[in-house]
Amino acid sequence: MLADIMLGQYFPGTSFIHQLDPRTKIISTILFISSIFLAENYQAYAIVAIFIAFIIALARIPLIMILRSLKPLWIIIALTVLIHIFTTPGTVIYVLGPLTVTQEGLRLGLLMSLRLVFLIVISSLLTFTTSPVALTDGIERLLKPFKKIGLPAHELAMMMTIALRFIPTLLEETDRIMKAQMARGADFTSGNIIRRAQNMIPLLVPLFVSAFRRADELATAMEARCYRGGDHRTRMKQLKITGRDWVAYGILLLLIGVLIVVRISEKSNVI
Amino acid sequence: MSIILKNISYVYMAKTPYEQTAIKNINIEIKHGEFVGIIGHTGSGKSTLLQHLNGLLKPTTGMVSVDGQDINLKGEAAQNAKRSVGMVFQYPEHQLFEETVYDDIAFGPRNIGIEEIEVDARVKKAMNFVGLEFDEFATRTPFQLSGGQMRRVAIAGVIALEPAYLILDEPSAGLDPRGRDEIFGQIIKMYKNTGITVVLVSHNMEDVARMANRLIVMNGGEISLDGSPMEIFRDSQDQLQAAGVDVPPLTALMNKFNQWGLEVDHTVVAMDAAVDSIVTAVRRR
Repeated sequence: MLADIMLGQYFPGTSFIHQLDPRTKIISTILFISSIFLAENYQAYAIVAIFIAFIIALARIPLIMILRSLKPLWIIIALTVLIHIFTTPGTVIYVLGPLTVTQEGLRLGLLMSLRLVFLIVISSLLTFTTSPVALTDGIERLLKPFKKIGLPAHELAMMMTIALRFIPTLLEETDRIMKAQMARGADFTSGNIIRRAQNMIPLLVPLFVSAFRRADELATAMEARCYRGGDHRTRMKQLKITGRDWVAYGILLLLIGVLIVVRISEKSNVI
Repeated sequence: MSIILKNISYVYMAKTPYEQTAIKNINIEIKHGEFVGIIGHTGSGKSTLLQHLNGLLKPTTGMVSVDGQDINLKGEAAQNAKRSVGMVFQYPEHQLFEETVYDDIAFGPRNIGIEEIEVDARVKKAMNFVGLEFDEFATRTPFQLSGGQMRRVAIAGVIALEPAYLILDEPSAGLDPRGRDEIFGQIIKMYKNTGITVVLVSHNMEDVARMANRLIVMNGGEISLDGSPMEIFRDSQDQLQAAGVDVPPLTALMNKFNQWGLEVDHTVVAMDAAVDSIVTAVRRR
């Protein structure tokens, strides 16, 4: 039942996007997310949407996976729409008791929720096309300059790798303990919130016990193999920026340029 | 009185690239009073199959019924039918959580609404079955026991639910030979004394052969053999090998004797019987 969680799942492939350097993908994702905030009208949104569709097609990720990554956040998206619809002042088009719906509210709600959808889709595209190991490798390299000011870049990356590595293991463990307790008549789904929190104890205690045990075993195993942090470590897969990455940066800069042009031309139209 | 599986198939993570059919077209009936051993290679679908027996997994297709009741329906009757199937998972000691052994064993019975006096009786009985002294262990914390003792507490927690069918997934995994013999000894004792139906999963052929009166061999998500251990060791050693499980050492030895021209009975599963058979064969010469 927990195996269906889509959070940050890698989708193996050999597409153009998959083969990009993880650093390129991380930087591009950050750039792209900031550039979404340049978009303010329907034309700009359409351009962003087309760009995302282009990336999805290029990465050959099935649409169903993308939609599934949106599933856990649909409540937040729906809330955003509702809040904007009912709270934005402007031309009133419908009155519902104390609530008024305005034209501007509808527009803003639509655009804001689209913005959220874009953010989620593009960041899940990053995790769909980049294996967790590559992702943390990329982060480690990107954080390297900050080492000078005392940021433990390697240790942070190692912690992230381990955390990511153990998500499926802990999910599996949760699933198993849950089933074992359900087989003893435990109930995780009904009752009020306090009751439900109490019912979680038979799940959480064993889970913590086993997480600590695993951590202990892993630490021992790492030390037994002479692990001692980041200095002088070499890696099997060296990251390398290739022509492909420059092409990706070029395309992204083109998009940002177009969005800036659209924004400026709109401003000048208004004036 | 039986558990019936009809055309059971189960697919993990359907409609993703990770989609995997774990078991397909399983048809078995587990009758009351049987001691069924299920063996198979890692990934042969044993554990998936087990979880269908008490409704923890819903089959992608097919139907599971316990004592005539479809357990994947909603309602009281299905719930009760599920409860008559007790399930001991692999490494069951990982599910312990209470402060005392007593409370952990009482967790199940209390959940299904049994009165405290009856709970007390059941805990005592369950601890007795798994060979834990009530006076010595009841008030201790389960986390400071040895591995074998923790496992017995966990098994007692399931036995205290008084299931008609007891399912055990690799109950001896990770125990030393002595712990293993103790656990198995207690399971056999309980089987003989209470007439409970036991389904035991293991990849150790020797254990299963010694205890079970029916053997199911799984391979690639399907049942490749189903019969008494003796029949299977006698007639189907090729299929056993295909399924990636070995015949017990004793059977292998007896087969070797036969190949060398010493006519012994290669269907025996007990050590004494094997010795007798060899002695007679040698005398006959």
